[in-house]
Amino acid sequence: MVAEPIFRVISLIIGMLVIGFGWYKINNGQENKRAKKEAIKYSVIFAVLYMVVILGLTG
Amino acid sequence: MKMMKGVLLALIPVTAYSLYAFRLSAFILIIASIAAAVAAEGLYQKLTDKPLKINNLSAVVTGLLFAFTLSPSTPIYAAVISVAVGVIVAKELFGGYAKNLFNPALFGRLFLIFAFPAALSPWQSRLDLTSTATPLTNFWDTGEMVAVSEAFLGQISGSLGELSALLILLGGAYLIYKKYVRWRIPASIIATAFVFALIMGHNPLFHIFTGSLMIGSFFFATDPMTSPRYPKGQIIFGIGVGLIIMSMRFWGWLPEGVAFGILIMNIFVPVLDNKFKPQRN
Repeated sequence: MVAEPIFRVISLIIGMLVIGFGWYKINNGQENKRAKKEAIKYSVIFAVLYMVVILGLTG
Repeated sequence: MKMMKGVLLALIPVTAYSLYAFRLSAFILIIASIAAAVAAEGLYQKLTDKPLKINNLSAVVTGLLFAFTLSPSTPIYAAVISVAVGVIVAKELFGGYAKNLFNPALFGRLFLIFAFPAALSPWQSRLDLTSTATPLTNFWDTGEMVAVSEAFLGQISGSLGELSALLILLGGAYLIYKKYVRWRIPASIIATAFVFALIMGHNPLFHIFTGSLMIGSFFFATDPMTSPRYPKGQIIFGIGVGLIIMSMRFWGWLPEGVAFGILIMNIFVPVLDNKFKPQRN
């Protein structure tokens, strides 16, 4: 299933949203702008690593 | 803006050669990639009520560099979607120009092979536009290596921007001379690839002049927004990129790993900057 491009893209978007909103929720006590910046940063880092790993798994 | 104009100037020989080699397919992909990058940036800034900054030419450079990573047979829709994703996710979400962690052109390229796995094949011959293997694919499949002189002068197949090491070197030398890029980064990537190939008993020049290693070293890894600011950090960054590229070529799941190498090392740039920041006494 991971070889299906549509599955890959949907799972990437879901993963990014989960990491981004999750990080933002956990760190919401901090300065709002900083928490948002960090949430975006970790969400995009996840995207890069996820794409590299999935490409590795599917060849 | 001045630096972006300099980069575009440095890319003229490579652009001209890709147009000569792949003619209309290269022209369409270059124009479509640039237009999509500029449109994505402008649209995002407009929708988020941010000041329009498309005049700084950074999206044009991103679009052009992205086009250089493509096979001439890449479908236009795949190129357009991927470069737009690269610009929006890897650049605009971070706050735009000079605030991004990742190189947006390479993020777009990674997204392209992730979302459109068949988009880059078949590769085409530079001479007659028939399907052919790139030198690295051939090396990966059979272990055979093309003549170094052919790779250096551009008589090989490959993506739009990786055909001639000589022309890339010319543009790279201009960027270094004008101090638009940090010379330690390409020098350490190339030196690492050289030593790695020697250890593996291969001709180092084959590995340096084929694939995207040259264009990656001079034009992607040196992006001032996504590379380390201080000399020691630049050298470690370059060594890391070189090691990932060469490891991918020998043991990886794809023949080429330039995009992976640079994007993964991009993650460590804030750490390297922090670690090697000069201390004030």
